[in-house]
Amino acid sequence: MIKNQSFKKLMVAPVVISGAMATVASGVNADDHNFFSDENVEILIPFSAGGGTDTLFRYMQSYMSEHTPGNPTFQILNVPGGGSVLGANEYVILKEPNGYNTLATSASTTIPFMIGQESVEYDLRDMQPIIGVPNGVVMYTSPDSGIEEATDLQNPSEELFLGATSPTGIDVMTLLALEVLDVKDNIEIIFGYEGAGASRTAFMQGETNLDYQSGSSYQNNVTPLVEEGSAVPLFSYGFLGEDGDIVRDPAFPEIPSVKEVYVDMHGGEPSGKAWDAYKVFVGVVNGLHKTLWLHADAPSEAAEDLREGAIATINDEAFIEGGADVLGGYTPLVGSELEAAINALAEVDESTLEWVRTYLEEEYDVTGLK
Amino acid sequence: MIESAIEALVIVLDPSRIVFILLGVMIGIVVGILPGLGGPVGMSMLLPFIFGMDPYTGMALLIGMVAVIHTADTFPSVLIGVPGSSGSQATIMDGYPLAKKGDSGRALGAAFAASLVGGIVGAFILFIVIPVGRPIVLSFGSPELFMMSLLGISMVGVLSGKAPIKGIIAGLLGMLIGTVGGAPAVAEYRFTFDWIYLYRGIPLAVFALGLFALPEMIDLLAQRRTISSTGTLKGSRIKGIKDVISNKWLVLRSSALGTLIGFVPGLGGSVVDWISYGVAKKTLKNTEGFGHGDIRGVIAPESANNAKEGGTLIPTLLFGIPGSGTTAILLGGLILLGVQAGPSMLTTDLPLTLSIVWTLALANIFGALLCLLLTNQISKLSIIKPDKIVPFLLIIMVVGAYQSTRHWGDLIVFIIIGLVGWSMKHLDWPRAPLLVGFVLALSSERYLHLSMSRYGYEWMYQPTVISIGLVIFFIVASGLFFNRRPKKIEG
Repeated sequence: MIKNQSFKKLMVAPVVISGAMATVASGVNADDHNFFSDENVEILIPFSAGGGTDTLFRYMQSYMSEHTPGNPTFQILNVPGGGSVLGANEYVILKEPNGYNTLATSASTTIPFMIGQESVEYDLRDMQPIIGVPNGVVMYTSPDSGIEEATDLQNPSEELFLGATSPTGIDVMTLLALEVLDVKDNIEIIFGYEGAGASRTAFMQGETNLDYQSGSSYQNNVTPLVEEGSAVPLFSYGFLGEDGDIVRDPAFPEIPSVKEVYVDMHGGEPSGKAWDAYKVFVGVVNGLHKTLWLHADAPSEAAEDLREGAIATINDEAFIEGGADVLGGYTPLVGSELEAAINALAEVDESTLEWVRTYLEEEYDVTGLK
Repeated sequence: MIESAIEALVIVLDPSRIVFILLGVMIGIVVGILPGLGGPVGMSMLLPFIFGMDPYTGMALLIGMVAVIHTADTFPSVLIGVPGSSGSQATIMDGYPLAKKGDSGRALGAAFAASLVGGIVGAFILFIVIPVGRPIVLSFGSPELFMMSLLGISMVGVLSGKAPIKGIIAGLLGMLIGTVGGAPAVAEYRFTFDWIYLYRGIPLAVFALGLFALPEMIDLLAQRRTISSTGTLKGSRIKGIKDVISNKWLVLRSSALGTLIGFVPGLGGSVVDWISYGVAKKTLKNTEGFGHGDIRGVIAPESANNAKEGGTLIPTLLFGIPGSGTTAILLGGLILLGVQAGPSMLTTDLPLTLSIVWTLALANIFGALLCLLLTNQISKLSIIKPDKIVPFLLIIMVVGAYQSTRHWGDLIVFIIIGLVGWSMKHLDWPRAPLLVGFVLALSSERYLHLSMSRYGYEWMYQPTVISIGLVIFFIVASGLFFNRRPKKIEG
């Protein structure tokens, strides 16, 4: 028994010390959110100031600053060029993965990556996502094109002109949609407009009679045209539902989706390579239209704190209400929803992407794809 | 409209807003004076601060800054021969020779008075056009925009002075340099030699600074002279102001022209001053002195480039279509303030639109007055010895050039273009056409491509296209014809 008592006394010291250490350690953990105190976080925006992505993240800046532990100041750096590819390249090549540098991307950044453009140096599957803002796309036409509803696209009475930018950017989704619906040959696609703003201008001028805009832009700029009778919505590109099928755009519940239009046009459900590719692109591009990322090898502490800030931001009513215009009525993705969306990107079938590359090379003379 | 205008004026004159206008004006003056910075830089600097302001105050700040950049950018153009911003290059042609003669006070006085009037005219035209602007903006499709770019390029002949062949070659070379980078319509990169810096093309600020500024610096040091060859300052601002009054029709014409050009999206604010200068040279009498210190060569571009701001706001506010880099950022600012550009600017947001007009006018007035007051102090730059001032200026210019992309490529291109510019200067090749060609290369190609894709050859038969075409033909023809006359007089 004496041995036991000695043993117990012997044991007390280490136990007390470990307990003390544990307390101290947990005490350190309690105010561990020091990563961003008194620090600046840079958001690299691969577009020039004033555009959709830039405006969205400038709006988000102050909320993220308020809600991220440590309250860092967020600073925007605009690096435009190459359709946003250059800025994204700069982020992965030149910016240090120290947790203080983030990247904002838009569909124009994602799509070149997906179709394997040679100039792309970034891999979105590696990076850590912080917050994603979905955005839909709506195709519309002018009243004098003779197209009253989407099915009329099969037999247009007038010449149809669609304004687009380039077959390697955001337009890829449109090209796939038209391929799925099999109406591509009825439409003259004019590439070369300097972005969605320019093609919308051309539409208003009567230079083109078919155009598409992202959901937020459609709400702000095209809905007034629809109300005054100078634009007719045709279909929305839709979103990827939980069962992996295309559902209507929640921001435009009254506009039919591409899938419904296909069924109306051709009788059965869509299928085939173009359809698979379309679903993949809609899932990734519409689901994650604009996203904020951290480097793959940035400290996980930084990612955690930023994500916490993101979650608190979207739970902030003032953020949602004040951002009605920039968010376009879509709820940003954080947490598990964001994870699910990113996984969809990571799980994309390589053969589908191969098909898209070949399609673009053959039908649209695109070069420079890996 | 009138009641809304008065209501808007009352809002703008609120002391708290006046403070912001003045703040914007002061920032605009600094941005204008420092070579290499321009509207987009100033805008990006202010954007973070307007979040949370009420729209009137936010606009007071932003518009206050924008309005004055083209007033203050005259300082370096006249005093040093370096463009303060991309809209101020033409001013150098006659403003700098005046400074060399010691007449900088007069040049600056005239420039500020012209800028003042130009800005107010621009605001006034904005006010009139707003209610009826929609159909006008919509009538400028790709063919019309191509013709406007072509019009700008045709100025090359006018700007070449007595050597049209050299001018044309320079213009073509400029266009070639302008093609470096991404193609407008296809995902192709040209002449980039796989150097990532060139993917975006050569930035305008670097090109302009290198072409005009570096040669001046080199020469100042090499010739060991102060800018003002007389070593003293002469020339009163009052004389300059009187010059503006006696040339009032020129001022009004140039302002109207400036507003019109600003109104055409995509033409680029950096050719407004050249077009105005070229038109003045063609339409005035006795213009042989242009390029050697004719005060009218200062008045014309200065009124135009201030008036341009009013013009660029028309498509920006009415349609959300930015007319220039500056207005593109302004649109973002509007969204941050909770305002959507478009039809609502004429209905629910009409007071804000009109407050923008008033701010534009007021800021131009404040800016011009402030600049006039500062003239004497800042003019002393031109009598400082070169070995003191050139290093200082070189650093400012290099930093200004570096702002473009913050890539060391900026510096390399700056030096190369600078050497090219210096050679051209001493071989008597006109540099203005090089710049014009460079600026207009991208937009002319884009709009030509779009016009051909959309209309085949039919776009050439549209009435607006034909009328602009006739104007171009007239300009080019008379440019060639005009150049024959001096030879006859000499013979």
